[in-house]
Amino acid sequence: MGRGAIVPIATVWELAKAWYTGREREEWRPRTPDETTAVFSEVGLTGEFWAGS
Amino acid sequence: MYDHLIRTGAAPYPATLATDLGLDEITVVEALRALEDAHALVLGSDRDTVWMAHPFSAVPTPYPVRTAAGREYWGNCAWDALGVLALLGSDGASASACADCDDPMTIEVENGSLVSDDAVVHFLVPPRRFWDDVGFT
Repeated sequence: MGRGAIVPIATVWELAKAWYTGREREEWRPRTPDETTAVFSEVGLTGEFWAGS
Repeated sequence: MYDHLIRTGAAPYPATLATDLGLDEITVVEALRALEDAHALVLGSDRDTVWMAHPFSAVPTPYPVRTAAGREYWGNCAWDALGVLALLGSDGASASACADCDDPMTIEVENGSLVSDDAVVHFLVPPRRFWDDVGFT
């Protein structure tokens, strides 16, 4: 395993909102790999580490 | 599940869910296991009780969350601690420690924004491997 990624807390807050808003709702479904990558991309997390999830 | 977690800060036992939902306990446990297989939650080693319903942890972690209204929860990690506040749409704070130097640190959200952005989070596991060992992740 590599060293991972260092992410500014402000980006993690944006990711937390994008990822978890609505998580408690009955209609929530697990994201597909493409949907997962898209959420990371929305908040600026791109590149090999975040891809292909 | 989430109604109970948000209301109480604790994950419901299968018997509680069975009562709430008007189902028998075996059906509930089978449903919980199916949800775990679908990566919708994580069960404890007994595969009967909930360990994680992201972003919440059902057991104490180094990432406590206290909302502005005084409700208390546990996040699974720094991301999930903020995730609890995001899910609830609530201001609040998580008082934990730096994973590098162990100095105390508090992440606080006020009026929907971070009070300070002077911190970073280390993601060790790439997303494509999150579920290989989700406890480690």
